[in-house]
Amino acid sequence: MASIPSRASKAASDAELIARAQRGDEEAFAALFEVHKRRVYSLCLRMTGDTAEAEDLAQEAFLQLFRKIGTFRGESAFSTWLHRLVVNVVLMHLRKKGLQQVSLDEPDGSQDEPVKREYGDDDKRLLHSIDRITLSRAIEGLPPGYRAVLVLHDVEGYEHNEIAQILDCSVGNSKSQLHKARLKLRELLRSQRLPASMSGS
Amino acid sequence: MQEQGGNGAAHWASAACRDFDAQLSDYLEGGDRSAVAMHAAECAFCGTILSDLLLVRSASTELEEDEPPARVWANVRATLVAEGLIRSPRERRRWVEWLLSPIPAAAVTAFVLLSVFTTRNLLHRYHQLAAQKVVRLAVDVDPGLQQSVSEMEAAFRAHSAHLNPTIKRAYEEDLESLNGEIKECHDTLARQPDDNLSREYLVSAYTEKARVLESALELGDGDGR
Repeated sequence: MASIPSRASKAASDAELIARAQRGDEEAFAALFEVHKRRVYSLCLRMTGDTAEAEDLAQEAFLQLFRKIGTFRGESAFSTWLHRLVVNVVLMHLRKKGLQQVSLDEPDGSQDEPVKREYGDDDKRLLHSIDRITLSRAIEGLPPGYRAVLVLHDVEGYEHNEIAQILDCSVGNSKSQLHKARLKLRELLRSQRLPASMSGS
Repeated sequence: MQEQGGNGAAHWASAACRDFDAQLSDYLEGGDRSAVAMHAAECAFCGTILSDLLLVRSASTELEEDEPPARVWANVRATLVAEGLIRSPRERRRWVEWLLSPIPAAAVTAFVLLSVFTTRNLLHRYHQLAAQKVVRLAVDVDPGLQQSVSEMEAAFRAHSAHLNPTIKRAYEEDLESLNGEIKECHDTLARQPDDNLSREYLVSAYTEKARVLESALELGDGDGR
């Protein structure tokens, strides 16, 4: 039961910081940034696969957050509100870039290439663990549509019905794109596989 | 069906392999597909795919978060300062200097005096009536106290739009709860006019409501915006 008081105290702490930020308190803005910066930046980085874009988008997301903070009424958890805002900022950016495959119901040939099934003496399983740098690099190498679904589901923990709503596609499409994304990620990891990047713990 | 490996090794996909492919996605999503696990245990090729995908899924779930560069906050802060959402200490000093210059100082003083005069009149009446109420506690709620509380509530409603939304909400919730208590006491007294306990609760609720309103009105004159 230890998580309940800690969640409650975090919510209380967020609420206090929000109330102070609504009055223009600089320390409160800085504290809110400090608490949420890693999650926001990481989401931007994983969704775009580019550090410069991730910096710009994290900055834009925080600016939008702070401009709108006066309208936050506490109906949902602050972190949920912020997270949805960040996802919207990133998707808007990807769509502006013309990456139509972010909308998963629109067919896109580049994502339907067959997933390779390879088998051979030197082509065994991915051992027992993957280091984070290798995995991050492989996720960055995914096509944007695959990357969006995989990041939202496997990394950020969204459910398929939420992803369908966010990406404006069907639940079935979200599931099928996730499966293809995992297979593609496996393929990328196998092609990147180097003795130094794989640990056999 | 034959599939060619990257090193030239061939894998013959059986009907069970094709069923495995078709059911793998559901299995990874938690669906009841025991045939998938059974086939993976028998077929080395499909077993490798399954163990790899389970590893990919768990590694993605546990991926650590990255630290953004310090310039992200520097840029955010600079924009917030430029847009006036937060004020730098230097800018706050400029405001103080401006407020202390003769013409704004006179205007602000006049405004503050007017606000204080208006609020003080209401509060003065409330304190007078509250003092009388102590003597008459066992008798009834002073109609003057009710009237005073009503006027303070009207003043609060008229100016609450300027309050910080969170603070405003807190006051409104307090008032709503007290109004509920007051109504309950009135209802009980309508049925049982001799219920002195309800009468005492009623006086207490009005006194508390006046105290809450006094605090809200003082905040409205201060820095609660």
